[in-house]
Amino acid sequence: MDRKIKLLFVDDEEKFLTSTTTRLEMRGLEVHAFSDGFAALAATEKLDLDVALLDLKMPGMDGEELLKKLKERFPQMEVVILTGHGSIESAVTTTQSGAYQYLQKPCELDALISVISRAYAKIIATRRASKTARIGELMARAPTLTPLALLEELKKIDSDE
Amino acid sequence: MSLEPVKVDDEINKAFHPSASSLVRLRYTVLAQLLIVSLIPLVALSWYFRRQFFATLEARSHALLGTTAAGHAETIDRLIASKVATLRSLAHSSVFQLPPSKPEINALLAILRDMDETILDIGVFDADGNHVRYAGPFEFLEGRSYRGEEWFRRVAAAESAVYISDIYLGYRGRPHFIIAVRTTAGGRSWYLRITINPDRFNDIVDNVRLVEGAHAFIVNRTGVFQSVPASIGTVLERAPLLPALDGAQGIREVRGAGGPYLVAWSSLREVDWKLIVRQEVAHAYGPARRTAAWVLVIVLTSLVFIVAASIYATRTLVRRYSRSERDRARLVEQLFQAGKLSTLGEMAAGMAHEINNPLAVIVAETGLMEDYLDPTLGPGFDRAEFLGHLKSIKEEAYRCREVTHKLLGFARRTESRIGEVDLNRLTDETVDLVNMEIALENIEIVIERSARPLIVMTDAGKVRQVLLNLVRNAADAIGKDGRITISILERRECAGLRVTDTGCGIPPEHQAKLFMPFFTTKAVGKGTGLGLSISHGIITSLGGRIGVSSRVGEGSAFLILLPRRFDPKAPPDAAAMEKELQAVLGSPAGRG
Repeated sequence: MDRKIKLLFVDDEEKFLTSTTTRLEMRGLEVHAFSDGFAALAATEKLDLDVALLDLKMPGMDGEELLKKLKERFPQMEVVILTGHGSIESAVTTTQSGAYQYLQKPCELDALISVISRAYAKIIATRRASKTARIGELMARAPTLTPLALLEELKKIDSDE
Repeated sequence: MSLEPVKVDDEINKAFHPSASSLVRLRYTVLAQLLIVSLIPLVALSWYFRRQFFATLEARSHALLGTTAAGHAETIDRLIASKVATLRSLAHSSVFQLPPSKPEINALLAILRDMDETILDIGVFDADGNHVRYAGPFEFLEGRSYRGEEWFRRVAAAESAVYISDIYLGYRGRPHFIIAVRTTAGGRSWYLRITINPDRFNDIVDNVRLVEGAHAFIVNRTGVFQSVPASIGTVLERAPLLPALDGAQGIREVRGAGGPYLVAWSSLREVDWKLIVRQEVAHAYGPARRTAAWVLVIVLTSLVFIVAASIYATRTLVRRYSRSERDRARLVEQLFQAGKLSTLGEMAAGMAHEINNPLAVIVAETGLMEDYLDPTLGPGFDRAEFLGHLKSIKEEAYRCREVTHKLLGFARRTESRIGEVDLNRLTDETVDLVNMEIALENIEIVIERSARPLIVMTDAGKVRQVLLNLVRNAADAIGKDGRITISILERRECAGLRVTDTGCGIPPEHQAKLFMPFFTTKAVGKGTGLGLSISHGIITSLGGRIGVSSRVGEGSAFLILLPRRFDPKAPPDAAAMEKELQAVLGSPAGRG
């Protein structure tokens, strides 16, 4: 994998945020850490992120709200919930809102990385599936296109992440 | 959460168990009522029947004595009538010529005395009152002139030609009375006279033993004894203790030296005398009085039994009452504890967050240090770096300890104790506890402290439980983003805690049911509906009041009023407290 996983990490617990960020980075992830939901949402616009790791209980914007907004704006992004206040209700609602996984603090880092990796794998798979579908669709339309136009379209699909 | 049996210590027993003095008061009240209810009918009945009994007895005694007097008068009348008849038949008979010879009159007296031993002597008198012939013990009377004697003048003038004298002394100087008849023989008037021996007559008159303790005697119209037993008096004396003898018959009670007497009288027909039967009242009523005494003994024994039974019943009743009160107090206390444990359970879930976060930090920090030491990952041991991580691990561990301490602090205070409580401090502690649970809901808790420490004599643990319940309810009503204001109010007679929230408010139809058990608007599993009813119970048991004012959409204000000094033996005036409560709730600051 020549490309680092780009992770959005939001948690109001500063110490946990910094040390976990360091550990994830040591393992080759590109982590964008925020302790505030609004700042995270604002920054995400410019960053091309794969997976989000969100705390639930936070002052200001809480994890559930952030999850909804992220899913709304970046449907392909996979969101993993990591909360100290775990309950069946919040697990169900976040899953319904599109969360990929629901983890409870404290959590083993290996388990966390494994979940993040699987979420990323899912993203890759989705992207590939979408690319294949688009090529298939393009090939179906191929007779109506000029060879040059067809080549242009294929390049465009390939360059899309 | 399972409920462990709750130990109830002496303090709580005292607080919720009716005090000894009130039990004593209860005992005396019940006893007095029992005695009044059982004794009044007994005493009233006894009195009524006693009165009736003696009234009947008196009537009966009077009737008996009256009948005796009348019957005896009849007997005496017949006796006198027979003497008169004998004398009259003698006077008109032709057995002898008038005047009779001495032997004839002696023989006649013998015959008469044989018939009637009360006859003492007999005499014959001529028209001038000369005692012509005499037979009897007083021979010296023969030849005397009786012309001026009372009896002679009367019999000479009398229409009926018969005269019976009162007792008098006469020539012989001894008490006697006479019966004289007038007759005519050979164209001349003659007078026959017999003398009655008063002693023998007395015996006959007093021979009445029909009634116990009764004596009979005869008096003339002036109340002088004509016949009397020796034990009572002598003839020709005035009879003592005589009532006014009105009418032919009658009965009176008279008081004398020997006690009260019943006196019955009956007029004689043959002579203007009255027969008197006199009986000591003690004799008349004696047997009845003994009966009455027995009845009194029975009544008094009943009284003793009733009193003893009442005392026993009261004691049993009060003991049972006190036991059931104690049981009730224990149940109430267990309910309070259950409410607390339930709150604790709900809070524990919320506080897991407060523990899990520091734990997550600790795990992350240690993990990071491991990573540093892992040659494939980190740069190796870095002293400054490691010290920083260790410091933060320690801090997080302390954070955990603080959470558990606060929670345990609330959980541990199970014993009930009345003591001095500073409401400001109590509020701070409670808010600390709630803050851990609601810090991330963006709910601000503002404490409006009283100007100086507000010390109240009450049960700190219980008040904390109620306040915690109110603040948590307020937080639930707000949900997210709002403010809870806790005001500590100093009033003249009491102290208040007001919890005002900017929550959803309570609809009026719910406000009335708010303090009822099991009333809840929360989803199933979110609340038991017992919190406010238990809070109400706790505050009431501490002599205080709890109330609410709320407007939908604006928020609610719950108010607790507590007496400054709670004394279970002398609970404060509930009506005054309620008035104060309404006054504070009604004031503009009372609403949210």
